[in-house]
Amino acid sequence: MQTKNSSSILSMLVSLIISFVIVLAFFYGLDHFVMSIQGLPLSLNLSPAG
Amino acid sequence: MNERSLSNRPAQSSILKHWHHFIWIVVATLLLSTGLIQAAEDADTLSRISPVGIVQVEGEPAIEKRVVATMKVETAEPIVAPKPSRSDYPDIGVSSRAVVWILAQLHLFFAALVLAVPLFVLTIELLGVYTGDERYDSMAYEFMKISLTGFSITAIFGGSLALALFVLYPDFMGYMMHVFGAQVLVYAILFFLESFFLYTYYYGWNAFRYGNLKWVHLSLGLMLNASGLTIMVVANSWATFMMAPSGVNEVGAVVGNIWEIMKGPLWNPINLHRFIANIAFGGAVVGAYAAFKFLSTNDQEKRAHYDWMGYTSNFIAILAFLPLPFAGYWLMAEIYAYSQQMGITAMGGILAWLFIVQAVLIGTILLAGNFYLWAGMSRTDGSDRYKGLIKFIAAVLVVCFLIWVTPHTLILSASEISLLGGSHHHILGPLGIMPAKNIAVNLMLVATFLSFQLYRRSDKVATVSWAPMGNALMVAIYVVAIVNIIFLGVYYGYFTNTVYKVGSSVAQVASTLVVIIAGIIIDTLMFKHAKTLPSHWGRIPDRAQYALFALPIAFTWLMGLMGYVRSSVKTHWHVYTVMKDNSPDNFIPTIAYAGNMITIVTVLFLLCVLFMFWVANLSSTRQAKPAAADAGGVV
Repeated sequence: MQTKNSSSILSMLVSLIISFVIVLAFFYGLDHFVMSIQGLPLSLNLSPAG
Repeated sequence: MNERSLSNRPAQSSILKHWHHFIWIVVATLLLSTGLIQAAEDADTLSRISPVGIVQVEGEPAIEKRVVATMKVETAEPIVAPKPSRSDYPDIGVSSRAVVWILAQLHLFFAALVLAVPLFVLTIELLGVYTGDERYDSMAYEFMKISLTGFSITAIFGGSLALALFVLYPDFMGYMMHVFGAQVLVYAILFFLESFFLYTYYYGWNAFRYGNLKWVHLSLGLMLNASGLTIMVVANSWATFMMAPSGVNEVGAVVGNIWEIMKGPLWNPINLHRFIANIAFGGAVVGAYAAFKFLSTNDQEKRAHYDWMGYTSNFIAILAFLPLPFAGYWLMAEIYAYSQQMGITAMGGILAWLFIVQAVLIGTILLAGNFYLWAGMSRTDGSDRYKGLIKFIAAVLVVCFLIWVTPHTLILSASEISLLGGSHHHILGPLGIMPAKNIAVNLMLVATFLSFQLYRRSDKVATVSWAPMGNALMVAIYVVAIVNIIFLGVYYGYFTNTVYKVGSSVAQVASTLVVIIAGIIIDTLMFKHAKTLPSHWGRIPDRAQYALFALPIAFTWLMGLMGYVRSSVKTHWHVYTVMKDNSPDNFIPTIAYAGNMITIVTVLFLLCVLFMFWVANLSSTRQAKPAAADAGGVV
């Protein structure tokens, strides 16, 4: 029973970590895209480029 | 049950069904393509329009004049915009502006209502056809019934407004008639069309109820909406021509065709903003009707019906309200792009204070809408899973609301400035500028959507195997979007230059929209074959209904307020930079005066709405036949 609980917690944690990685990458790209189409490019660390 | 009832729809041949769909698609495509083709044809020839008259922002390149058009004007001896003197405006003993203000605003309130209601009535009716649930059909019919008187009231105020304008502002109206010409007659024809489709749609409801005739009825509803929306965009072109004239030269002579006159830079932003706002407003008004009916009966069946009706109305109002700030943002951006002076008058001058009042009203709407959803969770037993989150959502809403209403510049005496150490408070100062408010607005919208999502989930249990992954993804989207909205506002708003500050607000909007769209998609897929928990319509505290009363009052006040701001940015011009207003009222009044006027109009509108509800009830009331001894005839 305890093993089953630990396994489900681990699975939930993995799901969360994967989700956060995907979503972070998406929003990072979104910020670059939305700013660049307005003629406001960003550098890799999201500071104004140029 | 009629043998051609909705439940027998599967018996119809699939070819026939496809044929219906085909007709709908063709009609919708034709309606849409008319506008799109025209827009596409002109897209390459239309450069951004600047004010045609004397307003020229310092440092900006000189406004180019259309030489060919001017030459045409010289040869044709065009009629230029009149320059009326003070004596050309009739004096009727009271402020002409006040008279027109009240009539125009009342006309617009009712026009918004009667344009919006058929839009969602048609959607609900269509939902009824696809689900086979006749309750949708009955509710759609009831929505139409309560708004029917509104069509007549709209026409009465519209006619009164036209007469008042012709009597009180004859030169201005003469010029407008000259500019728009036969387009005004098209407007009149559209009225006939709308009336035809309205009456056939409403009175044919029960005659065209099932089978093929239902599709005839839906088509009538589609045409009612098409004619209503066309009326709106035609009328919008008059208002936007006054704000940002196009198709005329610097002296007001017509140099373009009617399409060039209509298609000014503010036309589509206003069209979109009014379209969305009307739906939110219409939903709020009919929600108040449902709340009133809910509170005035003890019959459990009726309470369940009006609870459902109130919920649907609130759903429509809040869902339409969520994208509204973005449409407003686009409108203001276009106003700034057209004329910086006009934009600064709106958001940096005397009218800027009204945006603080606007924040209070929008905050009221969001708090009332959220409160109604939280109270509505008591309808289902499954809501206990989410009730713990309500206090956090409430905290976010209240904190953001307080930030939004924080003014940047305080009205202070010399001693107060001395005590404060400057004209801006060290905490309130930074919170009073747009980056802080942009964060607040976006977070309030995200929080409101979360309330919606929790409400929608409260009577369901997901059965798909990937539900934990779906939930994890949704949590990640919320957390990252909120962090991103705050990061964009703080970093670009306070630590980079102004251009990035403005640009980052678009990325904030995109983040909010991602939350909303992702939430809808994930929930639709995740709860497709979900286990449904029992839901008890009518099991909601009475106090929740007062939130439904608060919504239309705040919406009405808000529309009156922002309509006044939109109109006032023209300052002392009838038609901006082209025709000056020389009437005794050619100034922006004090905030107190404007506030009183808006309040008067709001109260008048609400009284008219009460009359509308009363009439709707009257039609279903039948007097009991008097006893034989009393029935002595009419004295």
